[in-house]
Amino acid sequence: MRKVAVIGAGMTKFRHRMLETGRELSFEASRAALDSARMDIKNVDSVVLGSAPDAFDGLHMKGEYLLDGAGGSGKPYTRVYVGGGTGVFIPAAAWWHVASGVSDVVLAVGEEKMSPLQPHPQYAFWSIFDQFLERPLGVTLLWIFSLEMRRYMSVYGIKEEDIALVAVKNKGNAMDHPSAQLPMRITVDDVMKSEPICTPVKRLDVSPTSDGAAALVLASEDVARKYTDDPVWITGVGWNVDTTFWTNRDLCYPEYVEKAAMMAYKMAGISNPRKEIDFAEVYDPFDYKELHHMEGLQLAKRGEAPKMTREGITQRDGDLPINPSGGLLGVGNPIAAAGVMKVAELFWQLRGEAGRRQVKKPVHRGLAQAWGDLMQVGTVVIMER
Amino acid sequence: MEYNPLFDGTYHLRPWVDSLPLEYKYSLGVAGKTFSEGLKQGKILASKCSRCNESRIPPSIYCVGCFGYSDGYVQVSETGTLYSFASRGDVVVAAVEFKGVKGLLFHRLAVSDRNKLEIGAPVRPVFVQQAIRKGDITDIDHFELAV
Repeated sequence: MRKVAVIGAGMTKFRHRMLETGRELSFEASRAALDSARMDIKNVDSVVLGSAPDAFDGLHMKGEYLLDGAGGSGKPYTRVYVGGGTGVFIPAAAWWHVASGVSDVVLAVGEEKMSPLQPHPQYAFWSIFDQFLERPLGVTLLWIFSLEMRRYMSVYGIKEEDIALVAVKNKGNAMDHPSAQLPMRITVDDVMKSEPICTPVKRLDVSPTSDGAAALVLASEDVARKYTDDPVWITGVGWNVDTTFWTNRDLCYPEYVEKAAMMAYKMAGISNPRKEIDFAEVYDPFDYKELHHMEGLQLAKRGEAPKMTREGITQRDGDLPINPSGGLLGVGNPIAAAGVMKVAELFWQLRGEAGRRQVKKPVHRGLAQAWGDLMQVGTVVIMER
Repeated sequence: MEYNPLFDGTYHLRPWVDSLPLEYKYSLGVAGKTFSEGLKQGKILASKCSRCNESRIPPSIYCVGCFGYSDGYVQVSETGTLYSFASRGDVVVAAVEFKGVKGLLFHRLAVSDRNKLEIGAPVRPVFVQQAIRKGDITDIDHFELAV
């Protein structure tokens, strides 16, 4: 397999509702990524785009709809989709285009425009539940995340206050992100007193719904070295999918995330992730999910991620910074774009270009992870400089 | 709380509203039809695989473990245990576990004192009257504590 570099990244602001269409958002992010790589669309061999459920837009064939905005016209073009895991799956799919030798330069684009669906984007998720067993009961995603959060708390004796620390950290980190939708300085008390959405989940435990796009430029080694003296390499990718029956797995431990991570660690030659990963962008649509995923990624022992958070290890100046970008809780959650934003954060952090978000310790290797569909997908990318 | 001013946004939309009339008629499938007939009789059916020595809900014609055909159906125990629960307003929902069966059943939970709820508590399904059962998941009206 050929070595694969990331040589450019760009993104739009993330907002609850944007004036721009999905095509326009895709263009803005793609143009920014190409500019950052000092490339033009004529240099791009193929395009990989990701976007989550078509139901948000009410446009079937959303990949095709977004084609020209993502620079895919007249090129080999692929849309990938694994629900919330899509964002980190996009660079994994772009990676195999380059690693296999099929393409030298790939534009990887994540787009999401959740706002069109009325009265709220959450209604799109009705269509992901089993039509016979679940929909007649009026189940929503918030119900099942609440079940999962309570199970996690119950098995390990974790308090809601411990979980709230993640929201405090990530929304605080997002104060330094120019694209952030929900940057805030808040306290654990603010989280605890925020509106109960579905007990135990409260308003400030949850990421917002968002519109936005983000993009990356991937290149083979010889092309990368022509455009930059300082490429960042993708050294591991992994993905894993479990059944849509969320009822048929351990709600306390994301095995599919572990399997995706192990695939990526093996490729990157990592045997002790806790020591060998310098920082991570872990999927955090809910604050407890960051903890859950740290454990699945083997960055924390089972049930111990809350302790690491309490001890400040996951802060930007800690030993294992988690979500220095501000994550989905702070920057926002335009689903496929949010995952690409996480990989873009690896790019900026590894190049020392993260500005006020730059983590304190020197970093050489970072990990980005996303999760989604019906609590069933793990996607992982490891990058090094 | 300190909010970043960017949060407010400065975008003025020019909206266009559209709606699509879509309706679906699904097939329950082979295992789903059997499960549905079980519900009408007040039973929750799991499929079993003798090679893996496993039973699973929801029942399936194939075994997820060995990817062979399942061997048939077994009725789950009349009482299950509370795996997790969540609440919003007056509504409490639960994931229920049955002994020896892989998979949880999601449903509503009726409970008089919410403070008494704890994970691991025994619960049982309460079916609606046989005459009005339709063979869908709402034939179970709710679960209740079996203590």
